[in-house]
Amino acid sequence: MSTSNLANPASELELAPLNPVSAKEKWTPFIILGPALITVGVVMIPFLISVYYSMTNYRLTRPDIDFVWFRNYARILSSSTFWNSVRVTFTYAFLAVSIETMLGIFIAFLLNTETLMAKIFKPFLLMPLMIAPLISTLIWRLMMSPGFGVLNYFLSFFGQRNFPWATSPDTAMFTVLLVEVWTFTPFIALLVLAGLKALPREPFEAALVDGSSKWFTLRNITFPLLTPYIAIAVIFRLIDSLRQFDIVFGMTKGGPGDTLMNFQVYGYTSTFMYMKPAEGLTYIIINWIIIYVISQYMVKYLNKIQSRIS
Amino acid sequence: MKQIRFTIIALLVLVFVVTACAPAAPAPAPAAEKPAAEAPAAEAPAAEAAPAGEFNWKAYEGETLNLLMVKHPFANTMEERLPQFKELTGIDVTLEYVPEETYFDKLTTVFAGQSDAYDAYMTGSYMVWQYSPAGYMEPLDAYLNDPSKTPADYDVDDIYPFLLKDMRWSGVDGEPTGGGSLYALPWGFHTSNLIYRKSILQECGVDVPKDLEELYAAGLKLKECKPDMIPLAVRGTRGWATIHPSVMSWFTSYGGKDFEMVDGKLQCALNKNPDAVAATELWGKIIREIAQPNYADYTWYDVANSFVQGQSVMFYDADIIGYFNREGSEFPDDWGLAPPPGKPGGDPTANEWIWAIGMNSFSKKKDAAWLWMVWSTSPEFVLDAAVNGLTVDPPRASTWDSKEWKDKIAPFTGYVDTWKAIEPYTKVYYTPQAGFFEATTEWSAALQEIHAGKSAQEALDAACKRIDEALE
Repeated sequence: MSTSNLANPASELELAPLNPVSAKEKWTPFIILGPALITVGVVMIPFLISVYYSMTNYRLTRPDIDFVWFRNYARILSSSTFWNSVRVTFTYAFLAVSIETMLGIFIAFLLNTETLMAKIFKPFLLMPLMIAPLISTLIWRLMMSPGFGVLNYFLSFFGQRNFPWATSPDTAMFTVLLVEVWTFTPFIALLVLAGLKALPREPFEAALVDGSSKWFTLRNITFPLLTPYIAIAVIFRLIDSLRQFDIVFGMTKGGPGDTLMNFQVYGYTSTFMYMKPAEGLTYIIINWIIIYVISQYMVKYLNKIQSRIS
Repeated sequence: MKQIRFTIIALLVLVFVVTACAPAAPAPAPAAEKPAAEAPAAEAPAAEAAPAGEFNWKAYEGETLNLLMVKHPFANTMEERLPQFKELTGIDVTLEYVPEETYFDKLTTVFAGQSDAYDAYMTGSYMVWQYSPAGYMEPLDAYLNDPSKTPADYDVDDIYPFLLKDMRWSGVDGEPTGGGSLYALPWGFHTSNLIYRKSILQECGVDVPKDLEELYAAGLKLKECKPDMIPLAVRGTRGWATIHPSVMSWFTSYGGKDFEMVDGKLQCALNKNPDAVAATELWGKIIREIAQPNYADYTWYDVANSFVQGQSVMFYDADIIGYFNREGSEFPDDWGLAPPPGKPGGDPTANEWIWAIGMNSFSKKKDAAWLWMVWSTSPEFVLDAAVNGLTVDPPRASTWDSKEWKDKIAPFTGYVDTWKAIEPYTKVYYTPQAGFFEATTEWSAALQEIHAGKSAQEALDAACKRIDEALE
């Protein structure tokens, strides 16, 4: 053994790394992520400008802009219209996501078979998703017209004439939810169907060998394994429902009265119809904060589920 | 393996960022600057410069103008005559059409961006209160009074004074129209009236309603006589356009006002006049019991369609809807027109709407744009557009006095008589103020609540609360 090793054990032990990192490997992540980071940066600019304008008294019909800090937020949070929009936004989101999830799971199970009906219906599943929500809404509005719409015609066979659809406060929420569920249930069904196809076979084979009933298998194996997929679908739909605009505005512009005035419709109406972007953007930023907080909780919950399953 | 995973993750992040985040909007415009002066900026003429003091149609030959138009018969009529303008001036014109429902959203966005994409545009009487204080509309007095810019035979006095008056405003909330600068030239106007099927009223033994109470009674009788028809079609969507063609007229006849000055501040007054509130309660019964079942769905297109298709017996809306659709309908001789029903024994306070043309103060071709404006509001154009096109009601007295126009309008029962009856009372009855759209939208929302069963006083109180909050 060399005495120099004993004298300088550290230098001798400073072996070359087992996996030396080349410059290429060092910079590759940054190069790959670079465009994404630039995109995020660019997209952040209008967001930051929106936050700025929400703290001003910016009106499209007034040339001067003054910084007013959080006055817009204080005014909106203490107004009657704000709490109405909270109620409308959350009611819509809760009902939409609940119905879409239940229906979507049901449809996914139906399509997860090799029957002829399943094969025929699978391509049609995506059709509502291929139509822009605003166009879907206009199509439904035409179908709901009391003068020439087909829906009231069919309802007349059941003794229901002149169903008010979106023109009555009592049925307006039901009407927009109908369009929402028709348009977006396929999204959840698609994700859940993909999850069903991706489930491992072994637990099911083991359950079969053990003589478990179908209900037991469904409750204790299928659903737990499917939960991450359902959770992802619910997160996406929840975020979208909380910021819903197309269907509501296309159907009634937030009416009748203030029945469907959610955050996004208030934001649009204030900005473009009342020409007050400061107020409109305040509504949008508040909506963003709500969505951000809720989605953070949902993602944490998703992580918990995933770690429980693995 | 790590590299592949990194690549996949990076791609997923990129996809997520692009799809989940809002697309970058164009940078908002900085604060709009007031135009430097009321005098138009000097422009180098394309070919022949107008000698001082001499008007020349060809002064801007070779120039191209861009116009923003509402998808409207006025614009179509003008477009059909553009070859004449080209021959006269040598100026090319390109048009962009936008549906009325979203037109002013578009126009506002153009102005807020201080864009010179459009040189002139269609506008409405009430929009002067939004756009002129911010300097978006070019004041027109300097052009009108300059003989080198306006032809000698333009005859501005031939344009109805009440129309020109409503295109002038001082820019101070609460001050009436008529003061300050002129911001647009009237192109055509309409008043709110009642249009009805003569034969059906006769068949059902119903007289033409003269006031709101008679309207309600007539509607009930028509409902019994013709259960498959809608007795009365009216606008009902949640928006400012619901108020001006009918509501403002009868509301005013009962003494109602939209705003009043209290201690130097504008305050909502929709809920203040007991007669007007009672009339609103009656209007609530009308829209619940005799108007179209899907009240809140109807725009002016729906009102027109329901009548033309024979679904409704009467409609309370703009007279020009009748003019546009009568000849093409299956019953051209069955249309009748009457003054707007209001307070029993009261004046026919017909609220007016003026379609006008204005000049973009950011345009770099103002003098050329002015040539198009004087051409399309000249006595010859207005007469031709009214008699052979659809630009009605014509804004010039000479057109109304002409044989051609009288012959044209004669088959429409009641059109001329109604105009003679309401002419002294026709004006814009709103209080000019920058929050016009918000106030009238909240008013329309209150009417929707009344339609759903809320009391008029309660709904108007709530609307006034929202409007006053917004005004602060």
